Amino acid sequence: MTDTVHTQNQAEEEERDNTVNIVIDGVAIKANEGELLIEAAERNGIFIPRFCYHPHMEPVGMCRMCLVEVSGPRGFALQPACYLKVQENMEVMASSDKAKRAQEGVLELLLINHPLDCPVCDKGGECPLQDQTMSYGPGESRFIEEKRHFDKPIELGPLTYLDRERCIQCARCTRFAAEVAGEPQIDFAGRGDMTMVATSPTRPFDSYFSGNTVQICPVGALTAKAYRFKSRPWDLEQAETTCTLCSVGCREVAQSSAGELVRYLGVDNLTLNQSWLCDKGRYSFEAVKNGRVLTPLARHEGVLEEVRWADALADITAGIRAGLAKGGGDQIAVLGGAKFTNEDNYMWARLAKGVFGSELVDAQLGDGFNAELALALPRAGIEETVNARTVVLIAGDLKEELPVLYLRLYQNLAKGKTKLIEISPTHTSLSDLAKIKLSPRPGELFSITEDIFDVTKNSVGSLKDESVISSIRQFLDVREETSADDGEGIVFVVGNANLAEAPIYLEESLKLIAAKLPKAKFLPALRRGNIFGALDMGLGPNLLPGRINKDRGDFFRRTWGTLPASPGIGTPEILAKCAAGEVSVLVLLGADPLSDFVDQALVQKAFENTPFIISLASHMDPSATSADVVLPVPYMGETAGTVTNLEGRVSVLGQKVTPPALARQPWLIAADIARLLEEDFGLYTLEEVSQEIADTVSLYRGVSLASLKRFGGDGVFVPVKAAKVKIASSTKSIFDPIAVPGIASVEEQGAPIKTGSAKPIALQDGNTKDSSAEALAKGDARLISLADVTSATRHAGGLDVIAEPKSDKYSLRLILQRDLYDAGSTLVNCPTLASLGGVQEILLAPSAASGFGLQNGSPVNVTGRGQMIEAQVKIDKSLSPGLAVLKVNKSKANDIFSADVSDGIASGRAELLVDASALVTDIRLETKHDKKKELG
Amino acid sequence: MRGKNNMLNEPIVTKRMGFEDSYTLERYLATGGYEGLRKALSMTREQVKEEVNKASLLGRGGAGFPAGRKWSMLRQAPTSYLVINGDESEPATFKDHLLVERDPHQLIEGTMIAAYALGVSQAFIFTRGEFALGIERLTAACNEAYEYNAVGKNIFGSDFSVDLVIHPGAGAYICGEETSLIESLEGNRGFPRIKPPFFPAVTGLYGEPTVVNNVETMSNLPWIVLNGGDAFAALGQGSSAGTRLFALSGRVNRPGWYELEMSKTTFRDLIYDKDLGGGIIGDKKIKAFIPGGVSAPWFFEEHLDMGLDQDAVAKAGSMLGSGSVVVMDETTCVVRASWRITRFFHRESCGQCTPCREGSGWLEKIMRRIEEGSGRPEDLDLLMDVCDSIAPGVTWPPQQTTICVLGPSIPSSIASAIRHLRDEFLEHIKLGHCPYEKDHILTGAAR
Repeated sequence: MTDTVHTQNQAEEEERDNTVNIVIDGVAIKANEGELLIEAAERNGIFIPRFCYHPHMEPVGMCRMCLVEVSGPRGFALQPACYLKVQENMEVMASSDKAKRAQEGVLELLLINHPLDCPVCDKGGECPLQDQTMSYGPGESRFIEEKRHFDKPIELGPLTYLDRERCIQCARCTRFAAEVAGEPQIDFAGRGDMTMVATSPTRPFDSYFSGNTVQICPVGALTAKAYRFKSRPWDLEQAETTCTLCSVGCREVAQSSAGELVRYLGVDNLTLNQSWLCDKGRYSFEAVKNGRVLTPLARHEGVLEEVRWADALADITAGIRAGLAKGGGDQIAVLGGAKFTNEDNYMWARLAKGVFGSELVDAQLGDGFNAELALALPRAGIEETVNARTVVLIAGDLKEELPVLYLRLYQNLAKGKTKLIEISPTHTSLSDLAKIKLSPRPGELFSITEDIFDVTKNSVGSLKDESVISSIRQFLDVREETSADDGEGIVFVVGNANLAEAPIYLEESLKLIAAKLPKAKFLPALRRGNIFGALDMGLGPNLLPGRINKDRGDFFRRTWGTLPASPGIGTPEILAKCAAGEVSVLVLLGADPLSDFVDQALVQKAFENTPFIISLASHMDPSATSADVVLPVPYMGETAGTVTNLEGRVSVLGQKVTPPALARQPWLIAADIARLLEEDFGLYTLEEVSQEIADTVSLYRGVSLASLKRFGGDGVFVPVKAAKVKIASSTKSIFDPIAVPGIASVEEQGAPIKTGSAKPIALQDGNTKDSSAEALAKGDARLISLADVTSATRHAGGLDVIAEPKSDKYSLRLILQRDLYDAGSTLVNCPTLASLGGVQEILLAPSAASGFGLQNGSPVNVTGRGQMIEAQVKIDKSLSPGLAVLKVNKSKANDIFSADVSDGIASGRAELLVDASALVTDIRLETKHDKKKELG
Repeated sequence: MRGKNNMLNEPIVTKRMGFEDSYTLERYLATGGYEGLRKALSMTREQVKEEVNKASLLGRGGAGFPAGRKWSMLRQAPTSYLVINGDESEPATFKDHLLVERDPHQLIEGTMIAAYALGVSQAFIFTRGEFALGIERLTAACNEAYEYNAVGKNIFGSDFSVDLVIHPGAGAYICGEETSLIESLEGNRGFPRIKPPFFPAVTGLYGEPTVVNNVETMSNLPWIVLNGGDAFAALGQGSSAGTRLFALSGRVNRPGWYELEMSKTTFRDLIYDKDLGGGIIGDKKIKAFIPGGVSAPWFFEEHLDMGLDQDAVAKAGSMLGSGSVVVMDETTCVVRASWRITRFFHRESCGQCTPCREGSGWLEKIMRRIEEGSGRPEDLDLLMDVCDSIAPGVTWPPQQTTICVLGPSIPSSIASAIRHLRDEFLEHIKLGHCPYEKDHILTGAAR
């Protein structure tokens, strides 16, 4: 592999036409017009000390550490480099006596009230205040007075402590909260040297993004509950990796101390997460230690017992042979894969489809939409999305489902860089920023989409306000005469906003939009970790590795030997087959349908009626507990391999800690089973699997672990269009605070230093087998297109069912959504996050609530499908009467660790009310007998 | 408040002060009130601006920037604002207090004239929150003015309309700094804005061009419009035209306000004239005086014969500032005086910039320690060095390491005292108490 065509410098030179000539410390420098002096200096290797400056936030000039002498009409004067923009012929003295005196003065002043408790401070050793004091500060303090005192530390929120004595009032955290997260929950109170960061008296700092303030705090004022006193920076080892808790796939470093995972820090890359993480991802490292499956388990006489791997695999092989003997591949179902790597998923796809011959394979668990459609839609990247002319959100609340995508979108919407049209059934975190907000009722989405695009239609279907439709048409440039360029610059962020509604409304809408706006792009908001990697590797109905439709699978039929004969079906139908006793073996690839599928009655029946259930699980979740064989697999931080995010960005997982001794990687388990079935794949190492993907999957051609490790940076986008690809981000950040002396720690993470334009590289070398090229040449490995999408099978009547079903007047129509802190295995196994789960709340319109005589907080019984659950009423003014909103995987009890945990979760589970085969779900309320009221 | 203006043939801003009911519309109208506005409305905007330019009216808020020039910098935009700064909060400064409390209609009339000249349709008067009576009277006057049609729609039948909002501050000295005042008016924490943009006239309230003028500046406008800019410029001398309202306090027999012709009167007149300050209490010797508010470097006996002239005072290394003159006699403890001033700045630093936030506290703690008898001789150099960290060189006009000028105002008193009265400082440290304090209770020096 070789670098080709450009050097980084040449590329930079070419792109820069608005250069400004400045001189810093006698060195002539070319800066970009409008660039901040501190950034221009840094790009040219001159470091100006700073605390409050942060590259992803507006400058405030508070700390005054970056004072340098700058030439002006009245000679040289001290100016802060962090908000001064470069100007032609500007002369700067960054290390003159006067500048040094000013910097030294600021540092001395910063330290007078600082407690200097470095030996017991989490930040000690990676502290910009410590580091810059060493480099720029006075040797000794002349301060003999009493320092300022505060109670310390105070709890700022459920995950964060604040030590106000250590705070240097740089406003990084307050700016993050207001500017980046859009949640100004913290601000300054008091004044002068008693200025402190504070929350409102009525609401703690409970933002989903609070951990970022800890990461960017330049001192140890903000500390994380989960990390406090866990380690010293010099004891940390680290590896760059990708978070796999949701499909955004934030780049981060996993840090361990004494072999134990203790911290995740966001990596600064310009096009993905820009160093930010959500709290769930950041603090999920705690789950590594809790609730793990440590050894293979097999059920003997009804009880799961520890067994040897060989015995477990022998049981499995026997079960699979029996199933195959009974009715071929259709007897074996494989669900899940979104928690696994691409290598794991490729091997399982090959095993399931190429060895078992099964099409009962789906990595989604009924909460997304048609996988073929999701892969066929023209894909947008995150950067393209947040900078689009118009973003149309047809999905749920991004802050709950894909938090860091929300963060990126919020900032650009707030700055007016893009416009938002929101078509989402409930009020989301972005609704207030939307130019147009439409709230379709369940079952109404397709008719709204038709209204928007059927320009000739005289009356607008279900919507009263025709002007809303016409203004959406204006935003989307929908006219009577269509052109092939329609949709240019528009990105649709699309996902299933209501789990109690059949996805067909969304699917048909998407097909219509894609047909009407040929240039529009889509960012599918499928939520699960590596769901896109799993689907790309073929773990979806009718799919083969590389986003290829099964009908075009000749290449894989030849190389794998066989392909399934039956048509593929999705998880709801697979589980229905299981429930009907038509499936012999159910393999769960890290999937936990017993707590993670919307129709719980169906799952329970499926588990009862499937004779042999195999669970590959990192944690002892409810499905593993009910399985017949449980195989321990690694968790985040313990896994090596590659993953693909929702943009199609392939990145490398860094394995930081060793998995439990007996855990085996899922790809290895697949290889073992294949070998035991006498279908040896001949792949014995992770690198070999990765290379096979790079060689045979056309979409991933050349994208292997080896090439990514060498050139990948923060990931490479697939499909790779040519032999040369653009690296997703060329920003490389230095993380080890000890490795780089001086101000190397958190600062380096923040600064987009020495970034150039993406550098074209060659991912292919002469030695690749490149059989995918051969396949491509024959045209049988073409990427799936909209025309290839198998029409939805669940509602064969097609468009006839696309009208909104009628409801009776006693019922409420249910909108079922997911929030970030659901009682899934992350929350259950992370002590710090556990209390954030919250109770099941039912959102009702004010009129609906008052109709039932209910107030905020009233307990209520919710019934449907012969089941009853309990919830607390929350009145939501934005909701229309006739609708109710519930959340999945919520417990009745507030503390999911309380004694009645299983009971609590069960009696609050909205999933009991939903029939996965129905188009929409209606529920009824039963008010609880209020004893207090009666007595009063 | 006691005061005087009879040194002048015709006082400009204090002519109604003799009346008990000076703040009522009735009295205002009986004494020629709103005639200036009527006249202004009969003129073109350019003509009004021209009169103000001719008057060479210097801003009375402290910086002394020519009002006409400030107006001419207003960026042309569909929306712009006029904000009147009445957040007078500095110790010993009470001229705007007087004007707000005793002649609110004059302030409103001036504001309307400025609004007309600038073509703005929304004006705000931001008053110090502690002006309880002033706010009551100003609000009442505003309501009366609306009813009288001097404010509001189609003023006096013209096609000029402007709305006026009276906004009481929430008790922060820093909100007298114009960008901080704008932040506060917008509902934010009163932090001064970073510069550039340097002038609110380019980017001000809600991001729109905004003129921020002082209460006294506005109160001069009715007279200027009625009598012409030339008549105003004929008073005073050079760039220091017209009259100014001085607030005299400290160790004088007759503290109070005095409206005086600029330049023509000297500090000696102000302090010693029997009709003005009336001399030092007990005929003691003068030790020092502050010529323009506690931000200003101190003056001493040798400056007494200097006129009350903006340029002359600036040339001598201080400023006429907010027009408050504080007199210290030979028995005044300079340590105590400068500690008290430093304590004020410490309490009022907004907390934004490190040098001011931390430096003010450090300086106050050292000063307090010296005052309380635990001073060390080396503290003098330390004090000067900390001052140097806030205002490099400790010069006047100051260089600064901070966003606004509150920071470099802090060293003024300490540096003046140490530079000119170093021996007294050292004596205080040696004795462990003030040399002039007769019945001191502290015994000896602590160190």
